[in-house]
Amino acid sequence: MATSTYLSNPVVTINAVDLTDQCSSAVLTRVIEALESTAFGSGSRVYTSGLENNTLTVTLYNSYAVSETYATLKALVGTQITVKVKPTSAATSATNPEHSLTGTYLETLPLVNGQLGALDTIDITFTGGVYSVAIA
Amino acid sequence: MFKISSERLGKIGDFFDAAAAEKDGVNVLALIAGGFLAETSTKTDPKPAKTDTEPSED
Repeated sequence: MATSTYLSNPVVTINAVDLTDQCSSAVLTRVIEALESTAFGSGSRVYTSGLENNTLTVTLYNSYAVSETYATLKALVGTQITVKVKPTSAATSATNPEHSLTGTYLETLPLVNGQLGALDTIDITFTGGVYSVAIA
Repeated sequence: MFKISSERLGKIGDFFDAAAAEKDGVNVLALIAGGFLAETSTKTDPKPAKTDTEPSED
């Protein structure tokens, strides 16, 4: 029987700051680049693992208030930090693993994304870094 | 010495171990710039200089 999980009450931490209540989407993707190693005599393409190149993309409501989104992110552009995502706010465990990217890089920070009649939201992507998962 | 000044980082007023956080990949300077940490002074006010005063013979 198929089961599905959705992030009903996740925890999103950016540079140790909990921005869960400003976040509406988080996509953490683990990527290990494929290096082709196909040689003569092969009947199909063959790949081997290359460098790891993970990404975390989050959608945040933009807020310039004290201790909110802008205050958290403004000094992080062009730096390496640690980000963490956990499916629920319960204790970290094998069924609620905490995923981390350490040394991940923030290249771009949209400062304003204003539209009439809509909340200001920004999508930011953290690239690279060392992936780890905690289960306790 | 830093203390937490935002609930997004932890309990307000608690000591923040900046050295351990930096080892964990946290950008402490960005936390300070964002107002999440407050530096606490370890200095104490200097004691006033002792002054010997002659007892008056009034």
